[in-house]
Amino acid sequence: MSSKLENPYIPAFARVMSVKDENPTTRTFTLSMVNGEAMRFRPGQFDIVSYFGVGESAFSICSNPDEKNVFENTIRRVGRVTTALFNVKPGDTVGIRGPYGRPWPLEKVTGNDLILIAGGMGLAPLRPVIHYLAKHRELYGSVDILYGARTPSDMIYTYEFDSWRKLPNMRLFLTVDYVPPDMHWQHDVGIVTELLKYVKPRMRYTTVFVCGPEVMMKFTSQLLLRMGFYPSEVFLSLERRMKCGIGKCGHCQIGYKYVCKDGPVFNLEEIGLLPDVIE
Amino acid sequence: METAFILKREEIPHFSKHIISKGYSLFAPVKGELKHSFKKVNEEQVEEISLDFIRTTMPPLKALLTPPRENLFRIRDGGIEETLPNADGGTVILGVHPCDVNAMNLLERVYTDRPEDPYFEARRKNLVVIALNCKNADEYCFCTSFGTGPSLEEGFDLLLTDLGERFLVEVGSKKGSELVSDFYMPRATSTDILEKDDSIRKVKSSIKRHVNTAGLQKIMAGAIYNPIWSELAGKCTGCGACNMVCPTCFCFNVVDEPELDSGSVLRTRTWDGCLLWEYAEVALGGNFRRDLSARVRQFVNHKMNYWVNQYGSIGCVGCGRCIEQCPAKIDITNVVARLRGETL
Repeated sequence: MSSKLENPYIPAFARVMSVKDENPTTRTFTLSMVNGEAMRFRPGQFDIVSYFGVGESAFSICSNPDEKNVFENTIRRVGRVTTALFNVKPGDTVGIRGPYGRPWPLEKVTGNDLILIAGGMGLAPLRPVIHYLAKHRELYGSVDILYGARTPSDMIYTYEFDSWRKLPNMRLFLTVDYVPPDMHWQHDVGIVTELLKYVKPRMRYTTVFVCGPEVMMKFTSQLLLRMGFYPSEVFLSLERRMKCGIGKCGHCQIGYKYVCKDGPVFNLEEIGLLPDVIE
Repeated sequence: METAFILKREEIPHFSKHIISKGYSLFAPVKGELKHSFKKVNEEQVEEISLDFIRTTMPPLKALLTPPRENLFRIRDGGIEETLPNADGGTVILGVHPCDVNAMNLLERVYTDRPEDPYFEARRKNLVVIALNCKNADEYCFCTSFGTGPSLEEGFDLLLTDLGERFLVEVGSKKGSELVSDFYMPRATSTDILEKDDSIRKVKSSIKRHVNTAGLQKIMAGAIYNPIWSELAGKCTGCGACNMVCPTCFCFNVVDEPELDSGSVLRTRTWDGCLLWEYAEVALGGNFRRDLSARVRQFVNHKMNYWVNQYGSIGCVGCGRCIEQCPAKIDITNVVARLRGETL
C-alpha cells in the first residue's frame, strides 16, 4: 500500500451558524462545514461531534436531508461533552466525523403507511424522516406521528408542529407524563403507547419507526408485537456508548451487531434474539 | 519447505545484534524476576534475551501494534496534526509464540475491516515477526483446540524451533529472507526437520486443556439466559484483567488530554474492557451491562460466538492468559465445557 490511508479518526471542522433553545437543557445547533463541503446524510444517520479538549459524542443528524449547506444536531446537556457542546456560540468551531450508520429504510417502505413513535429526545432522528416525507408525500400512505415527553416543556421542535400537521394525510398526536399545575395542555396525558389508540393500522402495509429511551422502546415494541405488527416492519434506533463510530472501539456491540455500523436502526426481527437489548 | 537454516543457541545474541545493525528496533523476551516479558533491547542488552518461556503476561503483539495508550492526533492553534507512528527503520519482534501470531492475524481482521485503522496499519506494515514454535506448554495452554499452536505454518517472516542447542530457522517471507541473507547460517538437513516434527508432536500431546468448538455457536446462542452467568458474576471481581491480557481483546476508549505546557490537546486512545463497569455506560446513568453477569456473558460470548459472525472465526487462540491471570479463577474452557454439559 503506497498511498496514505484516510484517517477516519480525524474530524473535519464545522462552524456553529446558529443556536436555538429547545428547552432549558436542550439546544439545536445549526452547523456548516468549514471546508465548504456538504453534509450528505440520510435520515437516521448520526455524526460524532468533538469539543476539543473535552471529547466527542454521537448525535443524530436531525435536520432536513435535502438541505446540504447546513445540518443540525440537537444536544441535551447531560454529561461532560454535552455540557461543553451545549455552551458553544455562533461562530465557534467544533469537530465533525460522519455521517455514520444505517439509516431508516425509507426507500424500502414506499407505499406503506408510517407510524413514527418518539419519546423525548427520540424525536431527533425522526425529524429528518418528517422533512423527507414532506417532500415525498406522494410516495407513502398515511403518516401518524406519536410523540411523548415528560412534560410539555421537555418537548423539542414544537415550533415545527403546526407545519407538520398541515401536511396532507399526516397527523401529530402528543402526550406528556405530567402537566405542571400552571400550564395549559390540550393534548393527551399518559405514556406514548396510549396514543396508538388513535391509529387504525393496516398491519401488512404499515411500517413503524421508534426512537426514545430504552425502556420506552422496550414497552412500545412489546405492545406493537401484541397488536399484530410485523417484527420486520418495526424499526428502532438504538443508543449505545460509542467511541469511534466505525466498528473499532467495541463499545456499541449488541451480540454480534455493531450499533454504529450495522445500526443504529434495526428491525425487531434482527435484534429480537440478541442479548443486552430490549428483552 | 523452501529454505531452512540452523542457528546455534549461543548465536542468538549475535543474530540479534545483526538485526539491530540493520536499523531495526528489536523487541525480544527477557527473563524478569517472576516471568519473561518482551522489551526493546539494544546492542548491549542482547545477552539478556531468553527464549525459554511459555507465556508472557502481556500479549506482545497487541501491546506493540496497538499500545495501551496511543496518540491519535494533536489539536494546536486551531489545526489538527496527525500523530501516526513513525515508520523509520522498522521493528523486529523476536520470539513470539504461535498463539500470539495467530492473535495478531485476528486483530488484523478487525483493524483492516473498512474503514482501515491507519495506526495499526502503519505499525503492522513496519513489523517483522520472528515467531518461535513452542517447546513446552503448561496447564493453561489450549491452542490445539483452535489450531492456533503450538506450531505455526504461515503468517511469520522467520520461524524458530528450539532443538536444544540449536534452532531451526524457517523463512516465511521476503522480509524474513532479507534478515538472514547476510548472516551466515548452515542449511538445515532432513534430520533437523524430523527433529522439529518430533518436538512439536511432543508438546502437542502435552496439552490437555481443551475447548470443543463443534456446534459451539449454537450452544452459546442458546445459553443467553443460562444461570451460569449469574453464578460466575458471584465470583468475578469485574477487574478486567482478562481483557487486558487477552491478545485479541481490542476495545478502546478515547480521551482528550489537554497539554498544559503548550496549550494544545492530544486525543488519545487507551485499552478498555467489557468487564469494566463503565464500559457500556451512557448519558444520565444508563448502563446497558450494569449487571456483572451480562459483562461476563459478553466476554465469553464475544470470543466463542460473536467473533465468528463478525470476523469469520472464533476470537480465542487458547493462550491461557485469562485463566492464568483471573483472580477469581474463572476458566473460560470450563465455562464452555459446562455450557456443553460436558462437566459440572
